[in-house]
Amino acid sequence: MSIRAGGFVVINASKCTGCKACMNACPYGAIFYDEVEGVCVKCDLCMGEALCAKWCPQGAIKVRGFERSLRMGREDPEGRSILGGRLDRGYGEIFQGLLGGVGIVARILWNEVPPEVGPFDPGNKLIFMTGPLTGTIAPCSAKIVVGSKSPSLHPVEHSTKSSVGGDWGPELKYAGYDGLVVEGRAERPVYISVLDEEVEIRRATGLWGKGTFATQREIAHQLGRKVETLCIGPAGENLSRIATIQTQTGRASGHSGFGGVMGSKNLKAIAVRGTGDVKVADPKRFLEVCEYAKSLMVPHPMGGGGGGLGWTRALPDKRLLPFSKYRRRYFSCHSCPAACDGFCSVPGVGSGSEKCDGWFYRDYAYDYHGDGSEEGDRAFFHATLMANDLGVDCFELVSMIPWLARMRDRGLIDDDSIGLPLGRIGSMEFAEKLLRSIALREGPAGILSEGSARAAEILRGAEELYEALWFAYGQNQHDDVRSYPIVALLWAFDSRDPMIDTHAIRHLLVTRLLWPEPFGVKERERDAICERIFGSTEVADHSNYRGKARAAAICQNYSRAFSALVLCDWTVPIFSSPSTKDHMGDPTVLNGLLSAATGLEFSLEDLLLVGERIYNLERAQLVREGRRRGSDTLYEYWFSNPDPGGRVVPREEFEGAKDEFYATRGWDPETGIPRPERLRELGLPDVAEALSRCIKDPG
Amino acid sequence: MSEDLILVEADRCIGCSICKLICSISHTGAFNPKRGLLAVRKDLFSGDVLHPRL
Repeated sequence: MSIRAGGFVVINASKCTGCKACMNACPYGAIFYDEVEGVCVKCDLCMGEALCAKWCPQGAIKVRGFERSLRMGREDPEGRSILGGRLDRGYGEIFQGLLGGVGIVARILWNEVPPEVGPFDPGNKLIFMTGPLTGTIAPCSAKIVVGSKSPSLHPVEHSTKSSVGGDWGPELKYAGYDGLVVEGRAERPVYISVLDEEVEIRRATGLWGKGTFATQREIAHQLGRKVETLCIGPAGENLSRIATIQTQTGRASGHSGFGGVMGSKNLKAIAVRGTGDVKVADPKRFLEVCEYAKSLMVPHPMGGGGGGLGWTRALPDKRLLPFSKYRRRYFSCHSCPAACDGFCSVPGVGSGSEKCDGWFYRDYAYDYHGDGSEEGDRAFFHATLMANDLGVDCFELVSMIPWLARMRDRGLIDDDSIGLPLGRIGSMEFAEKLLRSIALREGPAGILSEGSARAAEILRGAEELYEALWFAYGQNQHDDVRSYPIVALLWAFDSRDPMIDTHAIRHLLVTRLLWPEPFGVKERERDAICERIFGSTEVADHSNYRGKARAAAICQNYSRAFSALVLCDWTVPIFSSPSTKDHMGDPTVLNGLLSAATGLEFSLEDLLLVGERIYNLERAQLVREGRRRGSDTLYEYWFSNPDPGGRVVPREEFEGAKDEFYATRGWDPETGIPRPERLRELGLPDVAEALSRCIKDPG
Repeated sequence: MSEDLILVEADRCIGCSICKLICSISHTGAFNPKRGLLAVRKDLFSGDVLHPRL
């Protein structure tokens, strides 16, 4: 080591033996050991412009004169079972056709999960898949796609997917793996640890029954190092159909019920630590595209430039603003400038993530206790933390609670029959009872653990009320199918809540028109954007179904493409941007990032073709599980009950748009089955052959 | 430049690791936050950002 002029310490790597004496001596803890090179390393301020300061989305890192430095602290530095798994080290020959994420998930489901396998059978697979951008600095690239047969979908337990952010996916990449497939079932509770090369299935006896917060801490303690952990809570252990797979304090693979699948495998958690590299083919170009992408996204209305879900600031909410006094900071997922997770500490309740999906109890708590009351704050946040700790899907509760209230009002249930204090919805006691009943299957309300759709079949007379709060497939309402024809279509064709499509379309067509500058989009700007993305402005006219089928297909191709990469649906595909003069976005950043990362040149059209291929593969799996044109629909309620504006989903127009959709997709309009010739054109000949057998059986 | 030091305002940190990623790619040619020459460690259960240093 030597000291340059001005007291700046530099390490000469060629002389360093890696003895770590300098690390012990440095009062600032500023010297690190590079395990790859076996030498001590230290910041060199990039010999000029410090890049960490330049890239920090928060402006939290600054280069200052030495005299203003701060003193900074130092940091002290069996159970084998029949559970099997695979760690995939490369996408191999299917990479180019399906890229990663949702594409590989769809392929593994098709190849390995036949229709007769139920979600809780040992033969079901639980797939965790990263994409070609995971682990890089690409903005909003932290998510992984989870895929499996879903216990929550209703009435058919279709194959579907979900996603989860945090830091787990990138950590798996640093450990040297692209994905993880869990199959079989352990004889007794276990968890999996992946520490670079060392992969072990360990006993989880002391962990079973614990909440997700304690589980993550305990595993880090057992392994003696910082790990990223995906785990289930008691809800997943008890095979609730609305159980989540959680990481951190509020990130979840939520809406497909995969927590129960993990529980059925007796798998409590998967802990990962990776120390390896993730490389890209052309780092210089990659960083340029990342900077360009970030410039379009920040300040992003979904966060960035200060953190948090920006729309909560754009549309001030009288119940959210007072609660912000509990917010300690914003947290983001790995490599994401948006920081949508508002970390809150409420005295007497606890600390954790606060996001939109955790608001399921907010209005009830304040209606019950009064706006601005601390009792309301506590009841609301306690419910949020408890749902995340027990591993119950918050989003299901958004509709389940009003459904229970309506059933109470109609006299279909009372406190005794359901075992819940229905007169005290909004109290901490009600939330606790409800969540415990679901997670532990306690008392009469334990049937709610089956999810609202199945509970409605058991509770007599409840189905009609149920339909008024759910849209289709046992998935509760999200967005508006009566006001926005394209939303109705996206719902009709998907296996689950199509939020990866509707987030983008809602921002563009609805929400942004209401927002102030710089987030707001004017109508003529929106029309120009629609022309560019959809080749027509018809999609923005919500009075009819013209052009919506084609636009829905384009949306689906986009969502499958960016979910193959994998990027977060909150922030891509960048149809519009708050930073350009005309608010025009630029989705070519998607193929730009992919090309620079892989060294294979992709145009936007190439990428959207991959999206179409994935959508068809997903459809083939649904068809094989019994899906046909007749089930591409919404609950009857939405066709016959007008909204306050007098709108219903017009059945004839809706069916006409479906004809158009099947034609656009090259699917048979009678059955909704992809035609074999289209599947062959898309490079899926084996799928074409298998499906042609299904056509003989119209379902 | 030689008298400069990098300061981290821990209160503003969102824990995105972008600083470690840009540091590692520019010094090692690969993305690897464990090889970034700075440590900003977040505790997602307490909400603390621990030991920002470099």
